Amino acid sequence: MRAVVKRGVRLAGALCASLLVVACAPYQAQEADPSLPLERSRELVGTPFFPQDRYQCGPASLATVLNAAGASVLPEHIQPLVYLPGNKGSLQAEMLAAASHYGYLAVPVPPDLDSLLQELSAGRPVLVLQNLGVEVLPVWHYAVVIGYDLEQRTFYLRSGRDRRKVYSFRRFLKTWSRAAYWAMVVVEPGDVPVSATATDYLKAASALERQHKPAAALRAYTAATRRWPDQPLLWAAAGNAAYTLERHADAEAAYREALSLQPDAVPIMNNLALALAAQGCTPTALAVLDCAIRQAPANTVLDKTLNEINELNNEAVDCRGFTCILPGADRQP
Amino acid sequence: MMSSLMKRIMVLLVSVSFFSTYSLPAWSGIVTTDQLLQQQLEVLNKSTLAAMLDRDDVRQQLVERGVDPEYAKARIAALSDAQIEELRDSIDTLPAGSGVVGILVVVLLVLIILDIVGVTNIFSFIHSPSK
Repeated sequence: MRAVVKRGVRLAGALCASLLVVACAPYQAQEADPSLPLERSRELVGTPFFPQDRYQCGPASLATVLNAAGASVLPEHIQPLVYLPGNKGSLQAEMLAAASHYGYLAVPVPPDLDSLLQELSAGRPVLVLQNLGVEVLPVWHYAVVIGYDLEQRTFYLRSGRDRRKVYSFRRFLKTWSRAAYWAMVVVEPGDVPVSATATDYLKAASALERQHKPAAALRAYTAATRRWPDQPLLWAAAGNAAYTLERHADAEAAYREALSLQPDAVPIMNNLALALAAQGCTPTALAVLDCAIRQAPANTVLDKTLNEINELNNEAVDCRGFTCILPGADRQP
Repeated sequence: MMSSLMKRIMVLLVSVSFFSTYSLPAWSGIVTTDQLLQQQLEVLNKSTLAAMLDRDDVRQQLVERGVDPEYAKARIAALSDAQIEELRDSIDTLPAGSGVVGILVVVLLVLIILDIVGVTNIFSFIHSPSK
């Protein structure tokens, strides 16, 4: 009998050990970068709290960060936008997309400790994905980090039905590392999160365009061009939002800015040609399109645009010209 | 026996109703920001119909998993082409955050495993070699 029990204990021990190995594998101890200008501690006590219902950590945590950004929404309103009954949970892509329904931006936070601390230090609560289980038996959970203390090495979260759940750095980082350090913040269009990258911000703002909220999208892209003035895609996106609002002169200016940074961007030339034609500057529009077609001769979209421009054929004064800069070619005198 | 004219009208009616389900804006011709993000010229030539079929596929997958059909439409509309791609083939394997309540399942499974190897003796339906 004792031999059998011993064997059972050894087996269980081996099982637990193997689970531990799997659980420990992806986790790397992390320290905050000492050169970062961070508050030593910060707790966003004004962050709202929505105790979650069964399986509803997605809607509850989204409601938390949306309200913190200025919206007025309840988890039950968000639930039909993110909850997947068959899977009993909410997917990350839909968590990001939900904010756009309310005219807000959901911006991913770079997956590292410093970015999380930067956002909190700047006063913004961060929605995180955690794996409360292990790699082989994941238990996915969304919560909102509302504070930290660098001396105590603690994090403070609104989590589940806990208004203030205290985690040690070590334990929080374990659960967060198993979720690939996924995190997001929600901001008003026109605000740019401190840790955001240009590409992530652009993707986030384009969700507002998909929701047919071009005015909000334009505010977002304009703020982005102030923060990252050397990104052609941001200027092009601003141009697209302005074009959708029929502000063709503003669209033209934005597209020209984009092309000054990336002269061979054929899709942006396409859009500039349309913005010019809409203002009656047909000759310039055709010059732009000619430049584009020379670089992408067999393109059906450019052909369609050419047809549309030829049909418009308005006349206007006050049109700026356009200089075609072909890749590798010398500029014309 | 349908005349070819009737066939053409049918195709037109079907495609019009299909397009109007998604309330396409009037064609403006600009390359959208989503398409710019993909940064591929081939995208400009990609069939709009193919992209819409992908979206319809994911919309159906949401409905199959209990999402209200009207909300499913709205949820799909909010997703980028890249996000649609990601969801289309992986909707059941991607993390779905549900919350702390799920942890009970883990505890249960661990107990079952311990029962199987004979360390514990909780469940009568598990017959381990030590019994």
